[in-house]
Amino acid sequence: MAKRKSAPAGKERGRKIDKTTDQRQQGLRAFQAGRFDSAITAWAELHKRDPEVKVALAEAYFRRALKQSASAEQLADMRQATTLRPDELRYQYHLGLALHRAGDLPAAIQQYQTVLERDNRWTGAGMALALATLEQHPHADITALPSITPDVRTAFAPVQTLLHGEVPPLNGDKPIERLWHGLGHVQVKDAAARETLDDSRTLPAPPATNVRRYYKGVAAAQTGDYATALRDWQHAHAADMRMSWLLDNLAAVWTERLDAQLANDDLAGALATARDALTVPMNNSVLNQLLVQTLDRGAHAAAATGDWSQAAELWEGARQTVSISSGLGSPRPLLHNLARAYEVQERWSEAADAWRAMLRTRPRKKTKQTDEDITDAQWDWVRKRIIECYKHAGQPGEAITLFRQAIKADPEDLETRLQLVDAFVANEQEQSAVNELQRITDINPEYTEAYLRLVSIYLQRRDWYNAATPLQKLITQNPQREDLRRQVAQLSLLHGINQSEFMLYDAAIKTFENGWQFAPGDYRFPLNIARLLLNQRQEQKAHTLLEQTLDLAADQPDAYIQVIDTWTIEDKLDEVQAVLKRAEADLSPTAEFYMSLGITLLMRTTPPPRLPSPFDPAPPPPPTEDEDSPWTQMAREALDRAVTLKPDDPRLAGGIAAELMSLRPKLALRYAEKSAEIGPDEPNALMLLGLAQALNEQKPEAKQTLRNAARLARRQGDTAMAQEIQSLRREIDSPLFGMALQMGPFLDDFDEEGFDDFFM
Amino acid sequence: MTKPYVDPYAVLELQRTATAAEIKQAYFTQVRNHPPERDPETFKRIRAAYERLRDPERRTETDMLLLNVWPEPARKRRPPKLDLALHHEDVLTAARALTDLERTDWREHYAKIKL
Repeated sequence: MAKRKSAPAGKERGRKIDKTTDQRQQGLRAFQAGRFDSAITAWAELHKRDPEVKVALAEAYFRRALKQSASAEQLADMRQATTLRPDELRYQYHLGLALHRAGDLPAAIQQYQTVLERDNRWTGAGMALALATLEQHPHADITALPSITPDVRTAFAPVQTLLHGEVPPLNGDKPIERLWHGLGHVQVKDAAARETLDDSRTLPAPPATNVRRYYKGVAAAQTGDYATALRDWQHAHAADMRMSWLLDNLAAVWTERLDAQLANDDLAGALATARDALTVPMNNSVLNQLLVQTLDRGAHAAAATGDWSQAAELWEGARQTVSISSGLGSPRPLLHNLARAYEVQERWSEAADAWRAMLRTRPRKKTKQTDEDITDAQWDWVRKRIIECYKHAGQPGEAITLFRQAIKADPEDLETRLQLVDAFVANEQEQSAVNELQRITDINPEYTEAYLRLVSIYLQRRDWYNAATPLQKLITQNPQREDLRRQVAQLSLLHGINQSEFMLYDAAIKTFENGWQFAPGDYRFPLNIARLLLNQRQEQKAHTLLEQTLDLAADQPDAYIQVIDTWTIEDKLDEVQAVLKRAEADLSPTAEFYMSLGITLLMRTTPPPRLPSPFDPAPPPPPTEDEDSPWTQMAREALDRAVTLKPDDPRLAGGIAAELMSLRPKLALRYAEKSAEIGPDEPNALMLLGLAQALNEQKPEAKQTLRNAARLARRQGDTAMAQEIQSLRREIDSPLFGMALQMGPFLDDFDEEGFDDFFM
Repeated sequence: MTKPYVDPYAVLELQRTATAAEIKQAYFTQVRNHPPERDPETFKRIRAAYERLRDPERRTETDMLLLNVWPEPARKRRPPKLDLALHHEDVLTAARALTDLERTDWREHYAKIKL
């Protein structure tokens, strides 16, 4: 049994030995291949019982540290190496260097001293100790340091001389010796510095080369040669020199140069300087202000020549400059321009981004300053523009996605939530917009903008009931806001009219009464209430309200016409005459007033034309014209008065004729004749006359008139019109022609604006 | 190259705050100075500028599409001054050349490992 037991134990031990050998060799192979991580892993446990491996592991840490740049990892590796082999001076020395690079001067000095105590011939440690000591105390006496050799003293003598403000003598012609001497010249502003520092030979360390380059520039500047100085300083910056005085000097030269170039309107020169300066981003507000100014001017100039790509590039540079500067103000103007430049180039995504960036500059809280800046309506315009740009970019949902992401990052940002609402509306997702608005009002029940949007959406849907609640809330919250009061009034007006259309008269009266409170000066409320009361036979109350209507709108001709219209519907001629009398007393009625009056009276008192029947192929007879009715007489007097007030204006008589064409053809003919008489050279007046003649069954005369009209149009160079008249002329004999004119399609072509166009 | 930028206010020699009446007046003045029969190209530009400003709605849109000018500072700040002194920090940076701090090749410090 024992034998059987011992055999496997031996096997086990053998396996362990094999494994150990494997790891040793595996680590060695990794070490020799420069894979120090693997070597360290392989030897991590083994070194505790194998001194040779311990030595190897320390070396692996050391070598890995040397491969790294100055960092916490490098320091940790050096510490591991020194912990494993505290007697190894190489490791102690390199730990000192690593601590020195990391800026831990007391610890570095301690390390250097440890090395020098054991071996004072270690020059590197002496040099580093001298430097670290001076870095701690620039006026320290390094000769007093223990273990400092004469070599170190000699090497650092010029450094100490410079630190004491003196010029070290030139002891030889080595590059470093000339550097110390040259720096001494710079220190005492000796013009010889330029020549002394003009040395292209390599210095033992790149930072020293950079210092020489920078002070070569300083020496040039001391003699007034700023161009050379700038070049040397730019080189120093390009070689990673980042001292604040280098940046200050670059800023000073560029500022001075830009200032002069802008003052001399040398835009090309200023742009070249600006491009140069942009390679060194720095937070110098004076220089950056000039840079932005230059880039903006350059961009404007590029835009003026149509080079929008160049303009965009310059505005982008200006925008970046503002973003790294403090105190330059808002980048908003630049973002606005940038967005425009991208739009013109149809770079829609970039344009949308620029508009969005601009939108982000909107202050959360209004201040006096920002109030003057951009109005709420203009911010709305920007929001819509963003959405438009995304649409153009073929990314209509992009705006929604972006706003949603922004909300996720900051759910309390109500401004962004509002932008999301706009994006929903633009994407025809109204219900989502309403839901989002409800979320906003849940977060902040006082958020006016959200209620306004909600009202706007409901109004567009003609959903008066839902619109009323948020609007009422708005008023409660902002009782003095005139714009809100106007909106409530407008909503009430629309709502009341809608209720009237559905014959909900009592409800409509209540709505109008409610709305009137918010716009007590708006005559439309008493007018509408009066109309509804007349419908309910409450004439006395209506009368009072119509009087109030005129009191409120004593100077508004339209109000008189509306009241006259109301009484005409009620067939109250005496009331109409009374209102007209009042209008003539209060206003100085114009031709247009009398024209409106006459047409209103005729429209309300002429029975509508009979519609053509599909069972009766004959056209319906024209409407009966009661020439002698008092209404017609009054209307005709008003229309004649209108024409008398503008005796030379064919448009007015023509306008009357056009309005009456389907309503009262005979009267239409009368005014068409008048129009043609006033404007015999107007093809439109003749065309109108021809049509009126045709409608009054005077077809031969109509054809002749239209022929004359076409000839006149052709003579005046308007061939399109001549063709149109000719085509009308050809249709005269068609039975459909008269019917079409009577049914009014003709009038659609002769609305007031169209008629004006014909005569202008 | 795309369409060049034109500021309609500049064409009509107006401030951006001009009233409707001022716009009309400026248009007539410009047309008088550049009648279409004598200066058709300029007249075209004047007419186009006026078209963009005469209608209040179109003017709002036009205003929003105008390019902005970066404002000049209200008061001129003192420009940065040159610093032409010798800085001790730079002397000490150069003195690193005397040390091993910037050295990267340490092969001579490598130890040979044998196991």
